[in-house]
Amino acid sequence: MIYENPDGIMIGLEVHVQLNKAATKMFCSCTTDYTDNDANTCLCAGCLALPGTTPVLNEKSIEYAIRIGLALNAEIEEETDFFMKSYFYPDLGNGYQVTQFDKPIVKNGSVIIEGEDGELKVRIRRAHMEDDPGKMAHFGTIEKSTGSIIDFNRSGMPLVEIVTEPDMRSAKEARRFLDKLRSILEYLDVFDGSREGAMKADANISVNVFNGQRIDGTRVEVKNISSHKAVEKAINYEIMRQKDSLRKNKALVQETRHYDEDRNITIRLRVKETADDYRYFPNFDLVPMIVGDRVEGIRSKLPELPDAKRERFVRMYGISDAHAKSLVTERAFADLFENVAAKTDPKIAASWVADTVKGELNYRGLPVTSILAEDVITVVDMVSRKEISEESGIIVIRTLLDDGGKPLDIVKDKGLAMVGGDAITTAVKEAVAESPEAVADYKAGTEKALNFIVGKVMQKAKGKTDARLAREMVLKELENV
Amino acid sequence: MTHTISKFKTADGKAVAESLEKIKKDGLGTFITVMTDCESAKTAGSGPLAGVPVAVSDNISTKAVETTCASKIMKGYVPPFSGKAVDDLEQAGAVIVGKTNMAEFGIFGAPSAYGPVKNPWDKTKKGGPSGSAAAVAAGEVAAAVCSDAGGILRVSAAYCGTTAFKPTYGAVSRFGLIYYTGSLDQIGVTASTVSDVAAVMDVLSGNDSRDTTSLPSKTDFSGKIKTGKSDDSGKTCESGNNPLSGVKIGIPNEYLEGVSSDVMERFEEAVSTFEKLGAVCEKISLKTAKYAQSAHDIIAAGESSAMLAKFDGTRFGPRADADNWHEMIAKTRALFGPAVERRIILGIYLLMAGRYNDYYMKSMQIRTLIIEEFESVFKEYSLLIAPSAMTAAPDLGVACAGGCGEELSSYSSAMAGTDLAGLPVAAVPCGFAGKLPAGLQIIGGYQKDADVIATADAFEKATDFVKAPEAV
Repeated sequence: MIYENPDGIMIGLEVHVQLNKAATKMFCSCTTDYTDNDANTCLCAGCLALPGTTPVLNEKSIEYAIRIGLALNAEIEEETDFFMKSYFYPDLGNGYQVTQFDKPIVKNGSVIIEGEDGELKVRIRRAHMEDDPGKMAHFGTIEKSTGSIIDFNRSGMPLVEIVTEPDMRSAKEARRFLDKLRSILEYLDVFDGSREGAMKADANISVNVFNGQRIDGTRVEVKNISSHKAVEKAINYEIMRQKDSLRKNKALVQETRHYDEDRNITIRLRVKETADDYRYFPNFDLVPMIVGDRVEGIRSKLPELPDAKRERFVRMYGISDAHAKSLVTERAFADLFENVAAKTDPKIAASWVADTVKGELNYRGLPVTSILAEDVITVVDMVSRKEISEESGIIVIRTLLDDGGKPLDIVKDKGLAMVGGDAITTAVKEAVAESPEAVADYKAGTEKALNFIVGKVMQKAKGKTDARLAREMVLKELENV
Repeated sequence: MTHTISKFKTADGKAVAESLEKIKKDGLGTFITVMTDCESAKTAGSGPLAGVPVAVSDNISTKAVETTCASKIMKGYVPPFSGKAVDDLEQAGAVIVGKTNMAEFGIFGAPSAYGPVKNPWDKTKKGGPSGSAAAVAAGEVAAAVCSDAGGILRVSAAYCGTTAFKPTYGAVSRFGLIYYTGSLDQIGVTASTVSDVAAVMDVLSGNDSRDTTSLPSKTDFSGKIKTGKSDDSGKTCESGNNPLSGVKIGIPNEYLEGVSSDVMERFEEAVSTFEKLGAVCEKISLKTAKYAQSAHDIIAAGESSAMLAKFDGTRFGPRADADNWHEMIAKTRALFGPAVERRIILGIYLLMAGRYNDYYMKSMQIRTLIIEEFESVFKEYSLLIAPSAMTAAPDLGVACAGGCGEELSSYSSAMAGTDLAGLPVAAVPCGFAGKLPAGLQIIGGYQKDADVIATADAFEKATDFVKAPEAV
């Protein structure tokens, strides 16, 4: 299958990643874990850019950037430096952002994602380090605000901005890229994606085919999109808007747009007559750094990354690729699987962890840490030994997540232990006796009628039996009727 | 009569009170803020500067004391922390009595919002772009700590007849210094004598993890001063001793251009003194000298456009009333003096895409060439000397603070060159041009601070130029 890309869509992303697993900010010793704190309480004179403050580089942020670079299969610059990027904005205390220019610490990498037509290699142009400004809140909308307030807690957060080539051809591919990137970053332990504002993306979108003809599309930038879902929606909206303009013969302009999540539209922020002039120049407060000598040490400590883990799971445990893929998205999740697989049949473990546990966690929006491997092992064991039914196993998992407790207690309290043979036989006999119409239907060839009778058995056994077993027994009983 | 540290120390604990009294009466405009309650805050310590009144320039942050950089845009700004230099001084027992007047943000040629500094030798003359030297010359403080870019400290010392020292870049932490051009600005000291300057420099020196440009280890300033029979008046060196024997001193011809005849006479006499002390003095030529001023201007302007961007009225300092933020910062930033404003606009212009390579990048390349030329010169010569200022203190009425005809970021190509290379420079008095002091500067190689200090000390002890004006 070859993806035709009928509209000639080209999408490039600039992803801002907070290195929020670093304990302190980029240039001071303020905490990076400010999310649950009041506005303007996690800051110092430097975060406020008071006169006379001097930046001191957090060495961890360099290490983290190198980790990211290596995980993105990229080159690490031997010597790198910082520049000042000047612009006036209320949340930018210094009036300049500390960033990198022509020697970004990371360049020429790639990430493999699942594309529209199989594997797609998204090239990484560069990844550079910079600091985050404060955060503005507006009274009213961004277009018409009656006032603004600024929270400087975020000011000075270490960021890595990852810039891709325009290799993605659909909103779905862009979202998959972000999902994959987030997964890699979390594996690297540099980033906690669950924190607010941890990852933001700017998307550059152009439509390059019109009426089947190749055209020179107009690149439009949609800025500051805060969730992966929103990225997908914003890009789809923008593609639609551009196609609509082309159809109506309205000229498209190179511009920067804002995505309004509530209204699901993009709004013009500013038209780029010329490229922005940020007057980049070398930062004289921070001397250039030789970082090449740190690379091999950092490489040797890199964790196993999702793609490698997925391959290993298939090879080592003989589980399906679909299960392996689902298990490796989160490192803690993969660890949970491996812990369960160590004590049970790995294929059964994969199904329980990837399907049941993951599904129940996602449904509740809970992290992997909400469930213990030993409890999952107990449940899988009980089901395997037919001490409880699969259905009961799921009930135990749900109860563990909702109310806590231990599997054995839950089985006891809820009376989930499999009902013995006699009780089931009685239930089957009763169910068949009570359902003459269904029996007649079944005999007349309506297969579905069987389900009605099995359902009745399950009802009588209060779920404490296995549906497959109940079905077999009903079939046997029906032979006698 | 001179105002050495030891004299202040022997003032029976009245030194601070006397200092405050003198400042109150001086009428020279040396101070922007006087810390009248500093005496109660002083701690009876045994540090090297215990009980000694000192001043710091108003671009060095002082906790809980207004710090204005002599600009209207900083009026009322009270820092929540002190600069490293201030902490070090207080740790050494010094009592900071006030914040000295200065060119706005320390930008050469930018008039102070608080009026000019008058010269204690002659109130109709300029005291220079920093009030630090005038405060020392007038006997108000034993020493003043002041940042220097473009020569604001060294030129002021020359005009007022004090000794000043700008160390190797990085020798003193810039933490808390509100610098306008971070790669050129460096904290230095002025005092009456070389040994006093060195004593204060020793207090200020040392690595500070808060300033990444800070040198890794402490610089020794006074270590090479010959401890002959120097007494308070510090007159002569050890008899029959040639302290500068074997020392080769270069005199760049380019640094003599434009020097007035009266200052030149004093300088030539000084050259003879150096020779009498055993040094060999030779005229040399510095090929890069003619580019130094332009490179300094461009780099300082570029850096100032970024460093002075934070003054927007949003987080501190005065804030103009306006309907929206853009109008607010535009109105607030109109509080910069016109010379500062022009410097910022120039910097913005020079850093814009399409110009950066032609100006800023070239200046950085020239800077490298200047550093390389100094390196090769210092392979042959131990030191360079030149007049500090081209003339004695000019009239108060002259348009720009330094007496220059145009707005330049540096007083001379000598000042510009040494700033760009981050070299240690001592400015010492070398006699009088009429009734006003003349000064010379001694320039050393990178991190050769102790050699510069020792030579300045030898010169001072061989001459009789350490003088203070009659009480004003």
